[in-house]
Amino acid sequence: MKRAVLIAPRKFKMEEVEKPIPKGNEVLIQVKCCGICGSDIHSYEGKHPFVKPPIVLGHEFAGVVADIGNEVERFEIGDKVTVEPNLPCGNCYNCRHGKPNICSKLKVIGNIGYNGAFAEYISVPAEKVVKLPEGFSFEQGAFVEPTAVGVHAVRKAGQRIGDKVLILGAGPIGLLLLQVAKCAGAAHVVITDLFEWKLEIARKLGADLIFSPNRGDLVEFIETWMKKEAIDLIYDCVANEKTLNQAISIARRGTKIIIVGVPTEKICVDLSLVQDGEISLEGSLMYTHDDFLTALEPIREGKIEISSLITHRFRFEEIEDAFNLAVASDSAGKRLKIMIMF
Amino acid sequence: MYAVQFDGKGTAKLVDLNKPVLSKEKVLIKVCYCGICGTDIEILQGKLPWAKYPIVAGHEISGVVAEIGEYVKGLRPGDKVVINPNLSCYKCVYCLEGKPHLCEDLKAIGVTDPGGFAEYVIAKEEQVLRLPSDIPLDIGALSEPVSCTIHGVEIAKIKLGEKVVVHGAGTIGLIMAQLVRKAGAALIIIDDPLEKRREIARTLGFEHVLPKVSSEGVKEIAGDGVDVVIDCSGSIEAISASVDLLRKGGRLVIFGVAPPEKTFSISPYKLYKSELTIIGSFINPFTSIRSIALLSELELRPLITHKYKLCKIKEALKKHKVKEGIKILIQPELED
Repeated sequence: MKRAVLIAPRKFKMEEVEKPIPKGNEVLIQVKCCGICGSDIHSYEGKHPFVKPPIVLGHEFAGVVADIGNEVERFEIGDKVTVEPNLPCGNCYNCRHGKPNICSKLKVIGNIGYNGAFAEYISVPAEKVVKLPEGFSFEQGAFVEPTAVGVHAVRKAGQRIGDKVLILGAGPIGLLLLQVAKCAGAAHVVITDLFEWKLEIARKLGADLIFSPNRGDLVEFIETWMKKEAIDLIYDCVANEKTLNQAISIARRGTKIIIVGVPTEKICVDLSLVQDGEISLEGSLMYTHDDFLTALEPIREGKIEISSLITHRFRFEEIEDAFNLAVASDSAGKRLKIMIMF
Repeated sequence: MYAVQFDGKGTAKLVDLNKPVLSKEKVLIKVCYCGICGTDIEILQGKLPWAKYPIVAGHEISGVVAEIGEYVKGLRPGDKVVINPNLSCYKCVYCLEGKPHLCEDLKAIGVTDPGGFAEYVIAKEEQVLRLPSDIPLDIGALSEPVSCTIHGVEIAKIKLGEKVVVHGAGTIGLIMAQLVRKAGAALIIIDDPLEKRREIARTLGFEHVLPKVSSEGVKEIAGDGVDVVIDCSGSIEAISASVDLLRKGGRLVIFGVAPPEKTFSISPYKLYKSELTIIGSFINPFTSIRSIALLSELELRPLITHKYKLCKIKEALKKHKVKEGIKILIQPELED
């Protein structure tokens, strides 16, 4: 089988290797599609703090069960499946306290300590494999993972029905979180992005108000169209110095800012506003197994729409082109999810 | 002005009262609609211990601001408004603990103070919320039950993907089920003995609507049971049967008003072994603003089955008692 190994920053090597043989508790999956995630891009550019080549990237994927180990009972060859890629140790403090997503020795398939799905086949532990409901497409299957990120963020935030929420950033995570927030009963969602094109997609997916900072001041915009102090909860899906300071200046006293985006720099904020306003800055990382399973139903029901988030599809052999597009600055306003097809 | 007074002995009487006198911090509102709630029937029959008789009942009120007191800054005559009927003292121990709805001296328009079955009603500015221009006033009268129901969903701590049983498909049950759906529940089962109500539940898009839900029935639909049962029926029979519908770690929310003297029995071992929670939900703390935001997102029109003029209130109360309608609204104009 073929697999794409990242051997150095910005350099893939297409290798021909033996198809893995699933161990007793493993399931061998023939990969059908795998999305490129922001963290894959960081890794590709050599900017990911924890990912070091050589590694096979890819953790948002779906496929077909091709073989099973002799201890596996829940799956049969031919099942359509996706995979929850986090591999918590099960033994550290957080794993023992119901928070495996923040395991201190967390491995992640296609990310840290385990080769991923930019490969024709991948063998993974059976407990991480999730059957796709009837009628699910492979692409929907590959979107369960980023949707679960949204589910976890909404639950961690303690979002209430009728809340008015602000989402900073309309990339794939922001657009999925928008839909999850609506599924959890948000009455009003405001979403921001630099690119009007992404905001138009957000509008089609149910955003009530859209705003680009190129148009002016966000605080003024919210006060004009809603009310001063109207926002109950803020999700920052960008997490850079600008967005986090925007969030802090808008947050009503006593509310939360959930940091969903991955910051790539040290950020300077006005902490006096955080202290004086009892504002909570809370991180949200990945998801638990329950969050992952919860993401299935709204996708199946069509409450979470993924097709307009896929802007590009590349064949597996064209993976270099796909990543070149993913990092190209001139296409930043035109791309959302790039899908690798097998 | 004309109003209807309840004496607590079963009589509703049309009376001619003086128009209420405005004080500096209050607002005079011309009532447009006032819903009949199950609580009104209890007040009528003298079964609500904290009501003060004789009382002009009615607490689900929408209307138009007629006059404002000198200190009122946020409202103007002519504003379309709804009323949060409940008013806490903000001095007692519960208020100071941040639980104003459990206030030791809780007052409520239509329970302790004159209510909305009248041409005019008086409220403090903090109880009056402006209605968005696109929401009709009859729908606005449902903001009070919506606000109580939001509190119920919060007490139930409904999370995305959970399985929920709602007992009762009256006004509260049908709003509750919609809010539970809105909160992202993956599976909702509604039961009500009345076919007419089940029919409305189905037209609102609910799939699992039964005359009576049993633990075997739940297991067929929901596997090991549901995460939450919310009783909106007040029926002791329904409440007693609820514990067996829950999966481990499940919650039973007592929202419907059961007769005060009635009790039900439960196995403490079962509570212990399955870590079950039984919790009550009372009125609407901190939910009024969100109830306004949600009015346009709920299907409330099908719940309004009847409208009666004030002089026909006896007929309306009778209709409510025999459960022929869902939400019955009173319009205080006197002409038929």
